[in-house]
Amino acid sequence: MNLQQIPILSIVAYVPLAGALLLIFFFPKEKTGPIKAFATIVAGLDLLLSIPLWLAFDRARAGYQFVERASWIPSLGVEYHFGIDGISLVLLLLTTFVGFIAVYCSYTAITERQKEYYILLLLLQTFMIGTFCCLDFFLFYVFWEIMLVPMYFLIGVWGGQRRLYAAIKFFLYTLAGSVLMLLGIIALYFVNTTGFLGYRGLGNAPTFSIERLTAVAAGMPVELQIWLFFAFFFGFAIKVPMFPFHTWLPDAHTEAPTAGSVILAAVLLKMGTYGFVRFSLPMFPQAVLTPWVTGVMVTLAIIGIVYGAMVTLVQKDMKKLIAYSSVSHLGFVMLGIFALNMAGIQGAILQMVNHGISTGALFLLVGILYERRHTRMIADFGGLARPMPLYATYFLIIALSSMGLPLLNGFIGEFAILQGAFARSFWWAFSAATGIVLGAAYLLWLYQRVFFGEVSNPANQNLSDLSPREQLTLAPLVLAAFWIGLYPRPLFEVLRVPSEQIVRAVSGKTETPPAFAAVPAPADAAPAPAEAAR
Amino acid sequence: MPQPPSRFRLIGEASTAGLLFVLSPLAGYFLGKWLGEMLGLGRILAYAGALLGLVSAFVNLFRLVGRATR
Amino acid sequence: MRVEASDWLLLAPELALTASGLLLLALATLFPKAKEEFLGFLSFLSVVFTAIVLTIVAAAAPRGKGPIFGGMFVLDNFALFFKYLILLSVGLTILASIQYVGAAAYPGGEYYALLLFTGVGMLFMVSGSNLISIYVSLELMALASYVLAGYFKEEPRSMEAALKYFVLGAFSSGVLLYGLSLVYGISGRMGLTDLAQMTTTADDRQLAGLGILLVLAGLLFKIAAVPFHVWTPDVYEGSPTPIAAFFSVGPKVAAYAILARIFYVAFPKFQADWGLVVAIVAAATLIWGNLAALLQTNVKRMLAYSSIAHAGYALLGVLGFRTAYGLWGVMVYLLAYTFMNFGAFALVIFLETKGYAAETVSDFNGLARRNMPAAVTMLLFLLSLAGIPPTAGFIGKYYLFTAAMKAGYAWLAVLAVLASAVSLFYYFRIAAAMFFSEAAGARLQTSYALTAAVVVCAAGTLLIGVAPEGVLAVLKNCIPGGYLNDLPADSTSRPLPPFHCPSPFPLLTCRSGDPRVDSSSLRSSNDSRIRFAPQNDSRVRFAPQNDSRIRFAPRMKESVAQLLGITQCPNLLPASA
Repeated sequence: MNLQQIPILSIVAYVPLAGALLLIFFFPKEKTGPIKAFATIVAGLDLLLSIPLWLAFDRARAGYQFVERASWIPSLGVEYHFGIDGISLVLLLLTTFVGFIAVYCSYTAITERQKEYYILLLLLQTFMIGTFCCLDFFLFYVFWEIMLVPMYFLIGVWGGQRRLYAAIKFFLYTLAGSVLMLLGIIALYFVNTTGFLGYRGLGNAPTFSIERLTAVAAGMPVELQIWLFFAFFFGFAIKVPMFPFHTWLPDAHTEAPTAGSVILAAVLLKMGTYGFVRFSLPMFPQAVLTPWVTGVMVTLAIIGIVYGAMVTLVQKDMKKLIAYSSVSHLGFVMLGIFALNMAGIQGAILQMVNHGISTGALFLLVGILYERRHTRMIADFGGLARPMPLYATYFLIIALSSMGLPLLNGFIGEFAILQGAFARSFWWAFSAATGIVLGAAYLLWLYQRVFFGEVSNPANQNLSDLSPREQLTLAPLVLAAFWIGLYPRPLFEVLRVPSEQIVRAVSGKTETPPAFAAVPAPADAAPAPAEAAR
Repeated sequence: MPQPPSRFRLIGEASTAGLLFVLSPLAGYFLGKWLGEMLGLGRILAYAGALLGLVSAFVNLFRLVGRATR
Repeated sequence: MRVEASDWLLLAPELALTASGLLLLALATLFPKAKEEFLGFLSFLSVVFTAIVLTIVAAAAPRGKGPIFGGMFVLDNFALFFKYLILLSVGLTILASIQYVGAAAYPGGEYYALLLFTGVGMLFMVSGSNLISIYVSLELMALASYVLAGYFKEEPRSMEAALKYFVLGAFSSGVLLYGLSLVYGISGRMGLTDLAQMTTTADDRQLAGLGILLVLAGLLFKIAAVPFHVWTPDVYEGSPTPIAAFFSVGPKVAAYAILARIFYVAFPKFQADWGLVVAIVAAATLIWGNLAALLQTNVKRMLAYSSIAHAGYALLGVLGFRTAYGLWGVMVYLLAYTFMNFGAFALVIFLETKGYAAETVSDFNGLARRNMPAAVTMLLFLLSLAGIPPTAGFIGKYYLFTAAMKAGYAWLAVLAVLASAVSLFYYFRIAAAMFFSEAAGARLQTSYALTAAVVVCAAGTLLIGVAPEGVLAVLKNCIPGGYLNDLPADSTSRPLPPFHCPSPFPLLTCRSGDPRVDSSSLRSSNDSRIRFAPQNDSRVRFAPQNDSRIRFAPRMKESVAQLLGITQCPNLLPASA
């Protein structure tokens, strides 16, 4: 059975939706056991269905695979167009993986209105997968927006103290950015068809196809590219979140329930960086290469890294600490992207996956602790290594992965990004390295305050260690961390061709991939220093 | 006024409403036209002035009705 | 002007509705003990009957027949679409009122009859193609609605609402008439197609501009755009809630229809005059409507301000009239708006009121626990009002933003999208109350009729959002004069083609042979360009002969004769383009 013939992407995307519909209509809300089991089975099925995508994906082929195309709104030129390339594949697998874990990690965390909770989780899963798969701008926008609705409810119903404020802030902030992106999409549409605002259009048939519009956009004059780059910038930068637009993140992460935080950190934050890599870079290459634009983006990224790390140091609430550390990590990713070379982009995408794994795991760990003690303040804990040794071990592994210790996944991504940044400028790499040092600082200090020493708070003395179910939520993430840390080559292989395409689009020439992931590239042998042309 | 307006006052105000709706836009129009010619902006200020005059007449009427019903 | 027998046939829907209204009045008088629900049911049946008659008329209308009553009315696809939309809104209002009016202590017969008469006025309005006929039907609609606003005689707020509406409405009609008279004075014509060819000298132009502006002002009052919106919150708050729902969809949509028709057909050449004014009014409406709605706690007032804001969005489409998406977008948006706004109001009617017109956001508390389907439906309407895909509201707003961008008002498009994002805040206050709050809210008072109305609205909202193609293709055929291809950006000074009176052909069949409505015309931009054949026979010139004083219409006698129906309708443009 040739996987390219069956609509596998639609199946993977809509299995959770079908599960949610079945939950709505066929499960009475009192039977929480069957509801939880069914939701877990559906999410697991989705994960299993997405594994063949990884296996059947052709690493050497450029362009999109598993493409499905059908006409949806011919009057506007909108099509139902799905397809993935290496970048989307990696993020899609992250989504199904983390989504599955998020479903069964909430068994004991959520005690009321459980049916609606699992329905919302499954709906969110569908919309996220849809966003990563679609190749039509209108459809992309639909999924992008509608993803916010279940997240709003997840935060607002099952969240913490200030959940109402956090939920509406999250929704409004992200929506404001997305609608500006809509104007950018409309502008692209007009450039392709009949022109607008004094620019003559190309006179083609109306379409929203991402491939076509990418080709069209790359040929636009520079001023228009810069305008549209910034239109899309708002949509993506708020989601990343980049430095001045990050204020929604700590509130949303802190007040969300555990699974909500996990999904928010692992997947939703990646949408912003995915948008930059997939859309902004190939579509607006001259804009990206303009010195002041690169300067602005890199400055914001570095501020995100350093400022994020410094703010993390002073947090007293564990969840808020991890939330701010996300800002710092994603600043890294943005730096890697805007280094505009193979090492940077591959490192950035890899770091996206790593961040999903490690920060997702961190939120899970904090959630486990919160379920026992109903507090997240660091001051309430101390010396937890004694009553909960297994938990302490897991926490240490994940913390080390987050800070980038070699043999774990974070190191690979950070190293590649640093290599890419260093190839552009010493000072970029220097500032990024400062971020790494600060990252080690806040994580180790957190670990020391929470786990080492004597048990300071008597309420902590009899805490139970990890239950088997909780271990089952953490173990896959730890295994993934080790696997990527020890053997990242498969990931690099998947990412090689799309990253090359992007780098070629931006700079006009290809480069050799980073040395340690030496996949013998077919035709070029000269190991020229990876210097991107301006 | 501390006490509600007397009936005669209201009748008086109401009877000027018709005149208000004619004179106010015309005044706005000519004022805008003069300003537009002075500033060289053409007719747009004339129209804006007429519109503003109309709006002020409406708002005045609205307030009158509000007072009359209380 | 010759009145032919077939003209009466073409007017059959309006006549049917009038007859039903009169019949209802008679029944209500003769049988004062009749149950209110029965009268409501009868009125709903008459609306359905009128819709059937309309379909028959549309399908069976003889081809090639021009305007009705010699240019007074026209039954083109545009009019047909709006007639259906108006009948839909009247029908939904009747459904929503059946229990509401029955529970109140006021007689129901006149209520329904007045609703039907308002519907008649609106039906005439949207097919009017002569300024006088539009004005008269507007007055008919307005008079009936003034009485409806004040229907609950004993409530002081209702009385105040009615009085404000009446006085301000009467004055706005006066302003409209003033503008019409100025336009007539310059041109000597009242027919919209004749006005399209009106050319003026520089001096006349100022007066014509003023006349057009006054017409615009009168119409802006009806659609409640800033700064003519002052009546809307008080009137919506004070009227009975089904009537407030009706005002927000019925008369507003009909007023938009005539605004669109007048400014698209008759005054496109003067866009330089009224374009910027409309843009500023749209910007002010968006800003003011959304900001004021943020501050409201009374749900009816909040929905009133939100409908003001929606009028602002639709004005974006008016600005884009010369683009492909302008009029098409306005129609899509009005259709979506009818469904979503009426649905939101209907769910407000669901809640039992503790005091008259006292519905606050806290009445929605905990609705998700008590009645999840109602909460989810309200969420759907709120999402649609805020413009979140995949709902009808998003499709409509998408069209309007596109029209504004294409027409060159990018700043206004940015303002509109940001306003749309901001509006989510006050819509989701209701959603937060419904889903997040555990406090006790108002009880629900349900009835089958109201549930049916809500289901229809929800189905419409969702279907147009998820599968809009059918609706879009149908509406593309409803643009008067045919679908306009986008003119390329470098040919902005090209004049619009002359409007030609289309013959009434059935609504649902697509004339695929017609090059202007074929979707293949989108593929290449050079073959189906509308050609601008000069009209040298029926162009009407109004330049004053010698001096520059403003001179009234030189052909006064002829136009008066035309108005009185003595001479025949002047030959309109040839049908070929």
